Amino acid sequence: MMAQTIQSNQADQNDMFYEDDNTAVEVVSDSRKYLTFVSNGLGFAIPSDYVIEIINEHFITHLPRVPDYIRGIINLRGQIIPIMDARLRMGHPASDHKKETCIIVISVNDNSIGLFVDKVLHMIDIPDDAISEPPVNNNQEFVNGITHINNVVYLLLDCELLLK
Amino acid sequence: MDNGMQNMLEMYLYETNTMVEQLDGILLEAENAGTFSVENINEIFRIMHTIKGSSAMMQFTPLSTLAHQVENLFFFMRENGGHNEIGHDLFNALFRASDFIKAQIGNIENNEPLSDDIGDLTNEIQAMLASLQNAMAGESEENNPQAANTANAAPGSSRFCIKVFFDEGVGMENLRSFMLVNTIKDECHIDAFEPAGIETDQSTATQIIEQGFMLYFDTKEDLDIAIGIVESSLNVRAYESLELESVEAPEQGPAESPATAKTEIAAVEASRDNAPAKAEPLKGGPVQAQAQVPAQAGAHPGKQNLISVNLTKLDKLMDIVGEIVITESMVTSSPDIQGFKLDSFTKSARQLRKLTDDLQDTVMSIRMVPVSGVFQKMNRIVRDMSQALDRPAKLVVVGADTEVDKTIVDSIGDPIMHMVRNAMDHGIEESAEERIEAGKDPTGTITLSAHHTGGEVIISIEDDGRGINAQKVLEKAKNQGLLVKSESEYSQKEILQLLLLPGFSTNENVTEFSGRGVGMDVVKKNIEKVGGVVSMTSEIGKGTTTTLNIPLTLAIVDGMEIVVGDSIFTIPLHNIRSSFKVASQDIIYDSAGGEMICRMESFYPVVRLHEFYGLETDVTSVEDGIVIWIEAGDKSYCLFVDRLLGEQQVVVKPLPNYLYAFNIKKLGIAGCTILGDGNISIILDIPSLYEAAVSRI
Repeated sequence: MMAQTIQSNQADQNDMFYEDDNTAVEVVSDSRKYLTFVSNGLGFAIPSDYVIEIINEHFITHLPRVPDYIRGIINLRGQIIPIMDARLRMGHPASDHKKETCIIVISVNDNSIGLFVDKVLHMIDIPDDAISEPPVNNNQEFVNGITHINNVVYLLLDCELLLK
Repeated sequence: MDNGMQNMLEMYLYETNTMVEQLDGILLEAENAGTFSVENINEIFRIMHTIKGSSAMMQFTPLSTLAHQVENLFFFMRENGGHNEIGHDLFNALFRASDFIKAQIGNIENNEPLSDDIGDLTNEIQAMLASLQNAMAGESEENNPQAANTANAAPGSSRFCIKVFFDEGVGMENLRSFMLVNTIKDECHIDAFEPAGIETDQSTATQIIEQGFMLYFDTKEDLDIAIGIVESSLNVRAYESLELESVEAPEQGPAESPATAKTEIAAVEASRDNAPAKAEPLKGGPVQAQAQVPAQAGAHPGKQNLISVNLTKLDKLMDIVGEIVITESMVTSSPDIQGFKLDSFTKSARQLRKLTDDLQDTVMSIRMVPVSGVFQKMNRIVRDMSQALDRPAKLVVVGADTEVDKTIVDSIGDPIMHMVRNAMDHGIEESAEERIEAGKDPTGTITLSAHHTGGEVIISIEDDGRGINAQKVLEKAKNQGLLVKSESEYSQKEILQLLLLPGFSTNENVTEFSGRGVGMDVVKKNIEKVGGVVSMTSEIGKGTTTTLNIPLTLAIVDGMEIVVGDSIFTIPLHNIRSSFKVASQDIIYDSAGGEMICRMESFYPVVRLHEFYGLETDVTSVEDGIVIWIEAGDKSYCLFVDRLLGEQQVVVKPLPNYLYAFNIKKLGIAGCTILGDGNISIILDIPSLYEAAVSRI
């Protein structure tokens, strides 16, 4: 199931901007733009308002004595930004292959932080009424919604909780 | 519009704050001298006048009312003297007025409404003025004619002037001028002429050629007659007739002693203008005088060229300069140009280096302000407490012109105040008798000193009081459960450090000034915030000294780059005593397995940075790495690292706020810096690394 979703996303990637335009016209109810990415084989979405930029490779300086999900800090054009590993933050094992890894720089309440993810997918519009509450006995403490768009399931990540 | 108002308010607050500080300074000085000098009175009058004016403009009525009353009082004193008659009440009232203004400004800054509860104070000041007026009423009558006489005699009071130029190359200008003077003298009254001594002094001729010959007259009639004579004189090329304003007159007036003439004339002018008013009830006086005062103040010599700049702009500038320093080393040490022989590039790079160094020094110096402002305020605290507690004490200030970064000055004000209060309240003996018995000067002395050493500024607060009873401190700490080891293990130094713990207060009674037990730990916290260290020494019967070691500036430090595994760390250079290689037999173990090294006959614990920070490295045996002996305040220990990279000037950047949630500050990480190659180096905080690594071993 997951392998299929990712493949379909890759196929979509080229005409992602078209897709954005189309959905924007179609949508009747209120919708927001989301950035989607993959971490530990799961599709996640974060509101694009938080996203500052996406950077590829960057040398991360290790910071001692912090929780392991803080991979360290980077120097982004003179700004010091901490890097949080999305996998480790959510209690998943660290990834071993580094081919497509990316850092999504997000800004939450004036705190800039880099989110280290396996792969960035694309921007999508998610109508508010397409988002369902996660199940009550959900173990994913950072997820505040689930949506099903174009046959792909995305977990909506609560950025503010990530930084708590 | 709103923004403009905000700017105006900021300007007002800044200006008024400065003035009130000045006022306090003058008051203290005058109180020490026991009387107001003429300059003091003029200065206070000027300050009050300005505060009155700007407060009225900003519609802060209570402030302008109060300032107006004080201004009235000082106006009277300036004209008639008599300040000695009021004596001490005057000082107290003025201090209260200054306090009131300060409190109101505080309210304005915090957006709180102004209090208009100034009735008592204004009444008191008015009463003083009234009593002065009564006392002086008889004398002022006599003074008037005298003032009028001097006004007539003073040459500078002339209202009219003719400037005469003779034909070019005519020769003997001085004698021609003399002739001219003689001719005019026959017809009317010449007040004065310039240059003087024309009939005897040949050299005046040159001055006349260059600047013309000046004739001063008192009345318009005289001037008109003189112009007629000048016009009909031979050899006169041109003349100018000038009508002088009272303040300008002295500037063109007799050249013998311009400075003295200036003040003298200005004073005479003022008294002459007011002469008619004095005969009447004195109320009307001030109004007429006001116009004169700003003009006088404006002519005051030695006014500095200052502008006030918002601190955030300076912070921004500092940031940019920091970036430039980094970028510069990025460019010059770029890997792309390594190995090439680039003569002109190297030359330009060196030039650039020099310029950025200059730029950095300049920016730093802009941010430097003397600590005198902070020290000045302490005078006031000592004075007030000395009166309230009835303990004679004086404050001695040493090195008030020592300069430190503006941010540091702002954050040391409160700690120093706490400590001065402590010294007054707990340090100095309760009565002069007690001091005499102990063989000391009955007046207690608190010495506040500041000086530079290397990268630090050292501020110490020293009292010659009874000192701290270590045994009592220890008992108290024990009762409060603050001890972490057995009583007998505490050294004198450690006991004094207990005083800095939160919730510790030796004083049984809470007084108005101190004793709530929130003092010293606040001091410690504030000083640590700016990277400083607090230490205390005390000797029973002799006094207590509290010392603050504060880094001169926060933003740029000289550091030693060190490597542990893949990580680079920066140790501030001023923390490093030395670095050396050791053999494994030099390592001494304590009973808990902790490592120590003996240096200069003392033993110092060794912290292996790779172990403490859990870093992977190949260098684990002592022979392979290097040991750095570091110290901060009274803490001294050794760090074991892989190798040294070298010295570098680094720009301290704070870590993202988010990371401070993990308490890394307590683990010896002060911040980070960006190196020339774009990599990040972590700056170690030597005191907190000690707490974290050594205290817990």
